[in-house]
This record gives sequence, structure tokens and C-alpha cells, in this order.
Amino acid sequence: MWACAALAVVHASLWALVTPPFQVIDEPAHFGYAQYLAESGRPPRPVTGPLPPYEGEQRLLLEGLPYSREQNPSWSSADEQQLRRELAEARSATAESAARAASTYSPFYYVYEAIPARLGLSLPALDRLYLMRLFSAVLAGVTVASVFLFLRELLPGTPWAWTVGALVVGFQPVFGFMSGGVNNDGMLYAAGALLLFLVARSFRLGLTPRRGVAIGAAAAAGLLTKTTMVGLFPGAALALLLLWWRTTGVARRAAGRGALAAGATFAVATVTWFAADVLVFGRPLAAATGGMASAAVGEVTTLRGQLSYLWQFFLPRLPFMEDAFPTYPDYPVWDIYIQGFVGRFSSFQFGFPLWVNQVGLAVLALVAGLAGVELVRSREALRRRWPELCTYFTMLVGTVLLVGVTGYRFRAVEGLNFEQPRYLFTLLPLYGAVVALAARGVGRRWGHTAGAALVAVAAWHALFSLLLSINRYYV
Amino acid sequence: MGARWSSPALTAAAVTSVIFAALLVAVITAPRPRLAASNSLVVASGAVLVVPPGEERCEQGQFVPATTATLRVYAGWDSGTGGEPLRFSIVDTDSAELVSRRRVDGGYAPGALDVPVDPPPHDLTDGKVCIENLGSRSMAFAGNRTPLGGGVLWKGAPPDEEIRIDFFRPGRESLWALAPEVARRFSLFKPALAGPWLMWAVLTVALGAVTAAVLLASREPGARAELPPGGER
Repeated sequence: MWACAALAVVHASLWALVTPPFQVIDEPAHFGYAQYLAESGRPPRPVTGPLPPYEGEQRLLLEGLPYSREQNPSWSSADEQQLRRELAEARSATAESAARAASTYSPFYYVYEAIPARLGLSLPALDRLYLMRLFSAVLAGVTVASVFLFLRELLPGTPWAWTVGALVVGFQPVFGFMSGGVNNDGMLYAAGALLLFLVARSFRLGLTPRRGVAIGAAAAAGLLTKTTMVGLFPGAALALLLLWWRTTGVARRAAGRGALAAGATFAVATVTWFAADVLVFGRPLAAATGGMASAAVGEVTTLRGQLSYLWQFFLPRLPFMEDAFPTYPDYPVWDIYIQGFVGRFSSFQFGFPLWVNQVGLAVLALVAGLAGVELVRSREALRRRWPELCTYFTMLVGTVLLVGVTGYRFRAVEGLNFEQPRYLFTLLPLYGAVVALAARGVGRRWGHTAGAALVAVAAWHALFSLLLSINRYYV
Repeated sequence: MGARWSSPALTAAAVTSVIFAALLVAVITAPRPRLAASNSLVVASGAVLVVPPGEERCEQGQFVPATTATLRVYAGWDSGTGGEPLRFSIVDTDSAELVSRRRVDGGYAPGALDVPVDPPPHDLTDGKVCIENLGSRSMAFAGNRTPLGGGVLWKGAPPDEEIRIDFFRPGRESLWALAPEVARRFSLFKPALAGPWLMWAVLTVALGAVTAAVLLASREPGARAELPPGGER
């Protein structure tokens, strides 16, 4: 487990060093939030109305870095020296508005990132940013360790599959790219993986009050990091219910206490934070939804439109449906989830050539097919473990639906694409499980061999993705 | 306790790695038509900037490296075949000196348009590149911004949009041949202690991580790994 986690941290750290500053999605805002928190000791209040212009370090970095998608790139050493001088001269307190759109998040992730921000206050801004990135990369290790433990609970009789699934997740390029940036997604993935591990462990060993507290804490940590975590909640609630329902006697009482402990822990943590958010820090509760639940959104969305949108995202449009994706080149699932998962980086700016994506689709289809074969072969075990299977399926559907609903509302208001593969990464343990099952699907004799080959493919895929990024930014 | 290597697993992972390594060698040693003297690998923008016939549009603040041999724009037009004749000029804004002036005859295909230019005597950090439309139809050029999502097009060019211009080095070079320059670029805007060595260190660690992953995945799990009660499920 530790080796898998360490390799995931290395992978994310490599991305941290390869990706130029502020080229990770929304990094300027997350950097600004952590910096403001580190300096003032308070979370920023959400910005109301139009966003003010960037100030201080943020402005200098955005204007001085040649890698922004809005500027001509160059590799002038003189420009770099000039930026360093300006950053050294212009050091001032970070503005509250530096958190920009990220200001709606709770400070859960930013407290963690405020540690390197605080430690690096005397460092030049660029050095401090890389320090914060490397700190964030550690969370990739937490995620992959949780995936390993999840697989251990899921497939206890196949130890090699734990390593295979965890390593394939650890070398997922978009996961590495996001984890190597200053972005709260890294902590969200860790919380999601931890929750799935705890649920799996409870299914194998039974729900106890202690495990219930852990489940509630993981769920609360995820929610306080980013509301995308909500997608797992229907599945987690179903798990608690089924864990209680399937037991009898003393175990049932323990499971009942465990479920209550989970709910209580979650409620206490979240209510405490939201109360502090409103009463102590003066931040409006509505900000937590990023405006996607406001009345204005309700005026431009309909249930029919939502259903049509969801249908068309995954399935061919029916004749009576209005085209929900007129600007997509091909097909949303292919354009966003498949190509995005194979590897599109920065703000979806660049990725692999089409043929690589097509090969990637073939590999993913093969993996899914083999996993399906293994599930059919294990149908007896599945019959016994249907509550667990239902739980994971509900988590999958919940997350996909959450992203789809948010995507529809975001598009209705902003007119922009929303969906990205990274929003599904709370489900990374299930990806690891599919890979592990696929390797087992090859058969008892060759399963480990296939698993090792899949890890090799994943690791080289990661290496080529790093080279793709070097090619994009430095060639 | 101790783990052993599974010979078939190690062989499969090693063979897979050899295939990818061969692909890697092929990619980095293949000569390319021309490698960019500046970063030309931005996804082509959907924004369009129009230069009417007889008019000129200039883009200021261009970084034009001294190694430039060719510039590239992405040209298009509404109807008809073949692009209009154009005149490209590069001016050093600091000295007001004309660095290059080249005419492109009409009739070229839409898309990437490569224009040979005279290299500036030194890196121009504030160069001005002008495009004059010498034809009778309006010409359109891709902007410098990349789209937010795959295939998303701007409905109109933002007011501060500018024509995307890429500058290329002469001749054909492989990534390997250009590696020292790439390593220099890699070190820019990195932590203060970074130098060109950083890229090599990153790549070495990346290769080491791949090797470690392959070895780890090929291990026969030790007895301690088969611990969880409950057995096979």
C-alpha cells in the first residue's frame, strides 16, 4: 500500500513541476484563497457582483506568465527575470477577492494549503506556489492508499489485484495533473476514496459505531471540501440502511448505532461549520451552492430540458428533442468523458491526437468487457453481495446525475460547458475495481500477468501525458 | 513474508514497456517539419479576426525569437477558392527598424499559412507583425486564444483578441535535438533553484516511477498480504 501511495505522490509531484504556474484549472483562485487564509487567518467572504480586477501577486503572475491561454507564449529569460523583480517589489497583503469563484468553498482544503503558504511567506511567489503544489500532491497518496484498501476489502482473496487497481488509479494522468496543482479536487478525491473504503470495510466486517463515525467524518470532509461529494451521499445512505437491515441480533444493534453515529458525526461537523460560516465569518449559506440553486437558475431551466439534456449527453438525440449540445464536435460522452479521461489538460486546452483517444477507447472497452466477464463469472458472489453492489451503483449514478444536473444548470446560466472527467473522480476506487476485475477476468492463471501489463500501460500512459504537457508548454 | 516476482507478470509488463519505450524513442527522434521557436502548439482558436481588402492589421508586443525562419498564421475566407495575396512585415518597435517584409501570392489553401521571413538580429520582445490584405476579398485569421472546451467557438472575437502568429525555427529538428533548448525553457518560471537540469531530473524520476510500478505490480504478494478475514468473495 505504501509503495502504491508513494508512487502516486511522485506522479502528482511530477505534474506539479511540469505544469507551468496557473495552468491547472482555477489555480489562481485556489492559490489566492489559501494565501489570503494564511495571511489573515480568516476565510474570504464570497465576492458579490462582478469580480474585481486581479491585484498584487495574482495580477503580476497572470500578466507576466507567458503560458496563459490569453497571451503569446515566449521563453524569454529576460521576461522571467523581470517578473521575478516585479514580484519581489510588489509583495503586499493578499486581497480578500483573491479567492474569486473559489471563495464559496469552505476553508477545509485551504487550511491544509495554508500551511505551505504560511511557511513560504518569505519565499518568492513562484517558489511558494510550487511548494503548495507539492503539498497538494501528497493527497494523491491518500487517495491511492484508500483505493488500495478499498480493493483489499472488495477482493480479499486476490492480493495482487489490490496493487494493480491502486497503481492504475495512481497513474491516471488527469488525476495526476489535478493532484499536482493547487486545487481542492485533490482533497475531494481523497475523501471520496476514503468513504468508499470505509463503506466496503463495513460491508465485509460489519457496521460498528466506530466505523460509523469514520464514515460520517469522511462524508463531512468531502462535503466541506467540495459539494461534488454530494453525488456519493445517496449511495452512502443506502449503504448504512442495508448494513443495518441485513444483520440480526446483537450485530443489528451495533449496525444501528453505527448508522446513527455516521449521521450524527456528519450532521455535527457540517452544521458546526455552516453555523460558523454564517455567524463567525459572515459568509452567506447560499454561497455554498455556487449560485446553482438560486431563483435565477430556476427561471431558465425546466424539468423537460433537464431530462433531455441528460439523455443527449449519454444517448443519441431523439427526433422531438432540441439539440442540447450544438457546439460539441461529436458526442458529449466521447468528447468529454472518453477523450477527457484519456487526457485533456489545463482548461481542456490540449490533449492527445485523435488516434490515441481511439486506442484509449478500445483499451477502456476491453477493460470494461473483461470486468463484465468476471462479474458474470462471479454471479454467485454477486448474488450474496447485492447490497454492496447496489451501494456502489447508486454512488455511480448519483455522481453522474449530480454532474449532469449541474452541467445543465450551468449551461443554462453561463452558456458554457461544465462537464469534465475530474468531476467523476470521487469514483476512482470503482475505476480501480473495474481494472482489478478486468485482470481477474482474464482467468486465474493469467490474471496477475494481465494486471501487470495493465499497470505498465497505465504508467507509460502517464509518462506520455507528461511528455505531451512538456510538448505543449516548452517545445 | 517476503515477496517474489511472478515471472509471467514481469515478462508481460516488461514486453509492454519495451513496446512503449520503442514508441517513445520513435517520437522523440522523428524529425519534424519545423519546431517552433515560440510555443505554437496552442489548439487553434475559433475566434476569427477579419482584415478587409486593402487594409492592414498589426499585432503589437510579439515575441519574435532571433531563430525565426518562418511565421505561421491560420487563414480563411468566406467563399471562393484560394486565399488573397498578403504582405507580412515585422518591425522592431524599439528601434522602429523594419526586420522583414514578404509578399504571399494568392491561391493558397485555407488553414495554416507558412510565410518565410528574415530572422531578426536579436530576440524581439516587442515586435510588431502586420498583415496587409492586397486582394479583393476579406481575409480572416484565427485568434490567439484557445477555446474553453473542445470545439467550442467564440461567437465573436473578444475586443482584445489578436491574430495568432507562430514563429518557427529553420529546418527539421527532432525533439531530441531540441532537448537542450526545451530544458532551458522548462526551467523558466519555476522555483528559483531550477535550471535546465530540472527537466532531466523530472524525466529520470518519471522513468524510475514507471519501472517501480512495473516491478511492484509483478510481485507475488507475500503471505502477510493474504490477511483479511472473510476469504474470497
